[in-house]
Amino acid sequence: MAIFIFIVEIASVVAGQLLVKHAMEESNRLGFRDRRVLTLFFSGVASLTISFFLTIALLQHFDLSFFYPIQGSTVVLIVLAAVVFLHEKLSIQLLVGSLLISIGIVIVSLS
Amino acid sequence: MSGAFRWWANPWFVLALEAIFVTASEVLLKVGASETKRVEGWEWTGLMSLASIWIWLAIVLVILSFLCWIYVLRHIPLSIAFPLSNVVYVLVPLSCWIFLGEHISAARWCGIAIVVFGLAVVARPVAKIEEKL
Repeated sequence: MAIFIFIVEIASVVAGQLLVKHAMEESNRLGFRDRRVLTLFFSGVASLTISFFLTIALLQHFDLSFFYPIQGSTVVLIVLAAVVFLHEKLSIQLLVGSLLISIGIVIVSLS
Repeated sequence: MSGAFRWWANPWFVLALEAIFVTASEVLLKVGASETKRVEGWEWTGLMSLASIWIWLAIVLVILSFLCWIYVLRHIPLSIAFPLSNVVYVLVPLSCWIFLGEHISAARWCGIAIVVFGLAVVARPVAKIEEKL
């Protein structure tokens, strides 16, 4: 069950960031009052809110030192998701940098 | 990109501001939570912390940081902005060390150094693009 909540939590962070980013891109073209922009934006905010409460639920069951290193992996996941779903450019520097940041976060959290 | 913006509206400046707001909110949450009275049975909700002015200030900073983040996403690709926003993993331990007198272990310093290196690797190509513009 805990693993399932973990997966949903990480998925909702990634989805939330993608939706808010997509909403902002669309807002450049359509303006803020457009229905599509508002739907994307509030779906993103809802997704991030779900992840916030799942984080609290998970923190009640796990130590921070276990939880945060896994959170660190979202850096790489969000970069890859932005490349796949939003067609952003992936460079070798971006991938290496993101991996280093993830590894660094794991070490900061574990130590 | 940045040439078209005034300095305070520059997305890279707002991204830095977002990281500072997040860092300040984390430190204030810690200060507020520490000075909160512990009430048996209610501890897990964290609600008793709302009695602290620091917690309210932290909440304001969290909201400001989200507004900054939305602005940043309007102008910077998510695949660049999100890794760079993780500078908070450097700023929060450093702030706790400077302002709260918390101890940072050698392993944690190594982790901080690796995050800084990662941030530099992500930011370098961006800086080159900015120079050309």
